[in-house]
Amino acid sequence: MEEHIPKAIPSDIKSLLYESISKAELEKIHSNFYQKLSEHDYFQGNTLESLPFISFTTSKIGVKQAIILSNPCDTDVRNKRSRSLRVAYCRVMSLSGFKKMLNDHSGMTEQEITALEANIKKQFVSDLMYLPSSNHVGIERIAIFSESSSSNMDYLQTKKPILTSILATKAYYLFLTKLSIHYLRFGDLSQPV
Amino acid sequence: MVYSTDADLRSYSANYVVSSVKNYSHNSEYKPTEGMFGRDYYTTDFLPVGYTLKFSDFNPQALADYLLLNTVQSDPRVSKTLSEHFWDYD
Repeated sequence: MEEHIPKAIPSDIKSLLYESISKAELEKIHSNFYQKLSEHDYFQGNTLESLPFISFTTSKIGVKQAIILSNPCDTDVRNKRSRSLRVAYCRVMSLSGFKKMLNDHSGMTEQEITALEANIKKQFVSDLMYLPSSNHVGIERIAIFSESSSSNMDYLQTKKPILTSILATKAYYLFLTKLSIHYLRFGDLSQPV
Repeated sequence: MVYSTDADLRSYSANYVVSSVKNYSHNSEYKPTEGMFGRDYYTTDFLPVGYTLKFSDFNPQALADYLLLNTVQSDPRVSKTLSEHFWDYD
């Protein structure tokens, strides 16, 4: 983007401008993050109260809050497919619970946890997405892309987990961007493999 | 899901910044304005009712660039703690 800024503008102003534009956009997205709940139960970016996970560390299976990762075409039951429909999702937890967990067990200092929280809220951490609170969603949460799982659509349609939030349009775009950053990365083609 | 062509996004990006520069030169505080581009709404049949993309005050390319440039990796102690205490915290 910086290449589009007129060359006559001093570099320090360019940096300030670049930062201010991006920060302003992010703050605007955070201030209007969700839209009214509707019937898009299993739409990408929707959060649901309880979806099944398995922990390979403890071999335990249970349910936790989750956010849908699969794209809307892949979760649309109307589309023809050669095998049963599975929905991919990842873990969602409260920011306060996340910080308490780190404080209790990670060995990180309070300063390190505070610095991590600041980066999470700026959406800078690769595998985490900050989900701010709102009038409807009372608490700050995080989506943890690296803690993912999947279930048959039949399971979801039978259990009908409670829908807890739907992303607003720009938050949805932010979600796709964050997903892309975590899951996609071009290799450095200039270097021999 | 495709919102627009890459060229469109880059065009938005360029126009957005140039407009922003003009705006910035008149205001010490940056404030995006409505209808900056004349092409206020972009909708697609891929999105369900209610999902309307509005680019008049939104620059997805700039946001992606900003996040990419500032991305940091999680501390390894975070993933280790998550794995060991996955069920203990909500």
